[in-house]
Order: sequence, then C-alpha cells, then structure tokens
Amino acid sequence: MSADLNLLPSRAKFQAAKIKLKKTIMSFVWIFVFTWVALLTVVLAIFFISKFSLDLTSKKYTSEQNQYKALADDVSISYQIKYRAKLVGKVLKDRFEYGNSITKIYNIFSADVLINNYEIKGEKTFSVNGKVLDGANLDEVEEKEREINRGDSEDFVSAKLISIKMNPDKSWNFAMEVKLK
Amino acid sequence: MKKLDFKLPESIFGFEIGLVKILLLPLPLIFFFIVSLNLVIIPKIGEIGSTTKEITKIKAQTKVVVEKKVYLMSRDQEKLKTDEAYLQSAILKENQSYFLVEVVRSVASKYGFQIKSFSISPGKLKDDDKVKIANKDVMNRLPISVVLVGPKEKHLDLLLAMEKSLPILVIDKFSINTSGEMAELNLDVNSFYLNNKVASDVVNLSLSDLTLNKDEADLLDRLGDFEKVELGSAVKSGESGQFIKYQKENPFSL
Repeated sequence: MSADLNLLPSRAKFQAAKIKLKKTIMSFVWIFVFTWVALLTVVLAIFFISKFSLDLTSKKYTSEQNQYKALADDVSISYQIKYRAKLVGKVLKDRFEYGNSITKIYNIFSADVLINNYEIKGEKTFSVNGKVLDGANLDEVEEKEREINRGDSEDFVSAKLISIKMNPDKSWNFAMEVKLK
Repeated sequence: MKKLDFKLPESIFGFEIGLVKILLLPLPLIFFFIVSLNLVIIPKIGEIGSTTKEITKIKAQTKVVVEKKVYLMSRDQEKLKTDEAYLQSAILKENQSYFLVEVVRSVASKYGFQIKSFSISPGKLKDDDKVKIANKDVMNRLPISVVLVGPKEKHLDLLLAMEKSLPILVIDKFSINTSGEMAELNLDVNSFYLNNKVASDVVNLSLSDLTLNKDEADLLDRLGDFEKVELGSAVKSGESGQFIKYQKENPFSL
C-alpha cells in the first residue's frame, strides 16, 4: 500500500490535520515559554549579580578612599610642594642671573688675558675691558671673538672688539662687547 | 428550574470553532510576552547597563585612589619634609619689605658688605609684578633698592650667594662703581610672597596634582644647593610682639 494513499473520509482527514496543527502550536508554545522563562531568569540573574558587584565595588572604593583620606597630611604636603615648585620654577626660569653671567665673563679668556673691569650695557650684554702683556696674547682675544661669532661658544652669542690700544710698556689694552645666550 | 444550556455552534462564519480555539491559544502568551518585556526585561536590561557603567566608573575612581595612595605611601617622609621646608623658605610668607632688607643685609655681611642705603617703594602693583599660574595671580613681587659697600674682590661671590639664597632673590638691576679696593653695588632686588594660602581639596586632587614632573624634581635638587637665610628671632617674618596694655589716662604723659 502506498504511503500517499489516504482512505480516510474528508471529515476525519480534517480532524487529523487539526490535531496535528494543535500539536505543532503547543510545541511552539512550550518552546517559546521555556525560552522566555530562561531569558527572564538570565536577565534577572545578571541584574542581581550586577547589583551585588556594584555593592562590592562601592565598598572597596569607600575603603580605599578612607585609607587615602587618612593620608590627608601627606596629600596636603605633596600638593603644597607641587604648587610651590611650579611657582619657584617659574621665577627661577625667568630670572637673569648676574652672578653666573659675570662668572662667564671672567672665564671667557685664559689666565694670560687679564680682565680689568666689566660694564653692564643691558641685560645679557657686557662690555669687557682687559689687558694682555704682549701681542701674542692679543691673538687669543681675536680668536675668541671669531669663535663666539662662529657660534662655537656655549655661553655667548656674539662678540665685538671695540678698541685695541698699545701701551708704552708694549702691553695692550682692549675693550670687547659680548652678548650672552 | 431549567438549566441554561449554551453551546457554541460548530462554526461561525464558516470558521471551525475548534480551529479558532487552537489558533487563539498563543494569545495569552503574547500578552504575557508583551507585559513581561515592557515591565521586567527592558527596564532590567537598562538597569544592568547603568549598573555596569557605574561599576566601571567606580573601578576607575578606585584605581585612581589606589594609585594616589600607593604614591603617597612610597614617598620618603624625610625627603617630603625637607622639600617642603626648602620651598616654604623660597617664598616669603607675607609682604614685608624690611624682612627682605634684613635678608640682603645678612647675605651681604658674610662677604664684608654693608648696606649704605636702601629704599622700599612698593608703589602700585603692576600686572608684571605678579606671578600667574593658569591665569590666576598667585604671587606678588616685593621690590627693594639697596646700595651695598664692601670689598671689590668679593662682589662676585656676593652676587652668587644672593642668587643661591632662600628666600629666592631676583636681581633686576645691577651696577657697580669701584674706587680702589672698594666697590659700591646698586641693586634692585625682588622677592615674592604668596597672595593667599594654598588651599587644596584632598579628595578631588588628581595624581598629577601630587606628583612632580622632571623639571620640578630637578628644581628641588637645585634648591638643595641654596642656602636658607636664618634671621634673628626679632626679624622673623610674620612674628609679632606681645600686646601690652598701658593703664595710662594720658598716653602722651610720662
């Protein structure tokens, strides 16, 4: 007998189709209900876990915050240090240091060149009056001028020999203007 | 009494009642789905989202607090106190020109110099008389002019010492007149004082508000080479004498 052969009367066939449809619908209903309840359970579980986690995190934060507040004196000192260091740093950065600048002026030449005096022409510009005992040492002065103007000096940006004068004792006096970096 | 017997017909408008019943079965389920979705699932998912955000935020705050705590606990307490003392000495506590004159006198006397004359003329504060940080005036300049007389060969040592003294001294103008072995130095010297007390909200300070950057750490090392000018108790900045009330009716009589 063929499987496609249906010998039931049409009423009975309709009843059978109805029962099959009911079964299918019920299966869908149960699958849907199960899935939905599972989803609901998962959502609620995640919700409660997140609340619990928030509670724990908040407690940890409060505890750390309290320990940090107990160090309030150190916090205050560290902040004062930072704040004042910023201010003092700014003042020192903007300050022109005459002492260091004059030291650089005195160290511009070797011991063979004597610096008699200096004059401050303006901030960073100095006029230097010096003396050398013979002409050979004057070469050092001229070489220093060239070295500074070539940009080979760490401390000076420019130099200019203003005057050179030979004395009766064969010593030389010179005046040079230098500008500090 | 006759029992009311109500029976649905087998079909209405050609639809089988039994079939309609089967098809209507999912309706309460759909109702339950809509109600639970709107009243439970969507609000709870929203709350989970906000709770997660809150947790992330609190964890970040905790991390910051822990970092600050670890940093503070790792700092050498002795060094902290030394640095604080140096920086407190670097800035004057208040506007006291005479204190500044005393500082200059104290440094000068170590190199054989004496104050010939001085002038204190605070005048009206100009804008460049203030040190600003983040556009806030936080420090004011305190200017004095002094004429110092002393041995010529020591004048450079004096200048170097002044530039390595605490409180910080800034020489604005300098000129020198020499006569034989003596030198007369004309100096415009400034120092600085804080406008207001440094207030800090411990909780809201960030780690960068507490940690020193390289320049600031180098500055503290540099300040270690500076010399604090110690003055006698009578001229200490901010110190005031004890008030004495005289019981005299006429204050101008002996």
